[in-house]
Amino acid sequence: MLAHTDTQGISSDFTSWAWSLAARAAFELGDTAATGELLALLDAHQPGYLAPMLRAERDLSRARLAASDYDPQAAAAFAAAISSLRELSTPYHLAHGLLDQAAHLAARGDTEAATAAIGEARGIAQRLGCQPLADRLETIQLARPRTATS
Amino acid sequence: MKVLRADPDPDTVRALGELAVLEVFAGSPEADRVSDEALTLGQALDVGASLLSGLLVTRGLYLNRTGRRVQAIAYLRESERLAAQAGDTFTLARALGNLSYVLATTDPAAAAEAARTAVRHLRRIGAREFLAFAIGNLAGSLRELGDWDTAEAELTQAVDSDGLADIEYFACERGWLAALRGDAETAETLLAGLRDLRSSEDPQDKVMIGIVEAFTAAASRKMRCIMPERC
Repeated sequence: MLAHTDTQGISSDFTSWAWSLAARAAFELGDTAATGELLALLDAHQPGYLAPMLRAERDLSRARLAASDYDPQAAAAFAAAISSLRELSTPYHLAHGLLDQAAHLAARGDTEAATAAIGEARGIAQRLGCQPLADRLETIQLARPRTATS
Repeated sequence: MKVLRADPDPDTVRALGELAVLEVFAGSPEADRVSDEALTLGQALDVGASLLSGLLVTRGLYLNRTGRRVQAIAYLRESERLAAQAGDTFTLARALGNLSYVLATTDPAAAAEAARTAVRHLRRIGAREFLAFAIGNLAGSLRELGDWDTAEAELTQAVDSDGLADIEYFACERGWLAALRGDAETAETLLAGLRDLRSSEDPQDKVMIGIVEAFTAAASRKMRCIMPERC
């Protein structure tokens, strides 16, 4: 899929979509070697040569890695990635990024922020008619709200 | 080419221009030199707005493939201006269609507008092959914008009303949209119907099929098959 970046260009439409899918697949499979290779592919280019979507997806990929490493900067990394996705990427990619962020927030117990991110992603999924996004929504476990005990 | 280069004239420029197109689309190491030579000679011989416009398109496409997007856009916009000045509708549409391709990753709204204008011109003059290209770019821009319904509608119109049912590229775009929506079955059916595209040696055709196959695998949750070397 990414073998033809030399003829298509690192910033072609195809390369951008392919890279983001490959990075997501690598993360879901826990393939840190592949994630590293994908990041290195982009890091080999100066920023001006990378399509905006690729820069945003790279930010997202790094945020996911930070979260999986329990890096205390992960929340900030996700916030920055979401900003990038909003400005530079497509609604589809933004929705996936919001769900990545929501999963991290939920794991930290930040239910309110996670719920907001999920809500925004749900709106995008409905507008797109995108079942994979809708399916992902259901997988994020939110912490039960605390209730008072007597 | 050696004979033509010896005493260059507009025919030399036309020949170089055609050679440049081949080199650029093949990703050849000669693409830079030839596309630059054609444009430089064209300017020197003052070949006229129409021919210069075409040379600018080719050079712009080369620049885009090497990541020099800003320069590519500048070349394509100038190509558009010169073609309009020359009253050359076909080259104007070609400039706009390629501009939409280059703009897709940075300004999909502008890309869609350029593609729509190109489609309008090409429908009027009946340039079938380039019409297919422009519609493909329009659908791609709409995919970027998240307007998947309109992208689907444009592809359907191309097949039903523009007589482009044989353009397998559209089947790929439709398969891609289906896969994005999670409809792996439809995507697989569309992929299975590909004949000419599968046997094509064009790198862009191979990439397109690869992308649709990857997103179809994702729609079926076969994440490992997205990277075949790990499948």
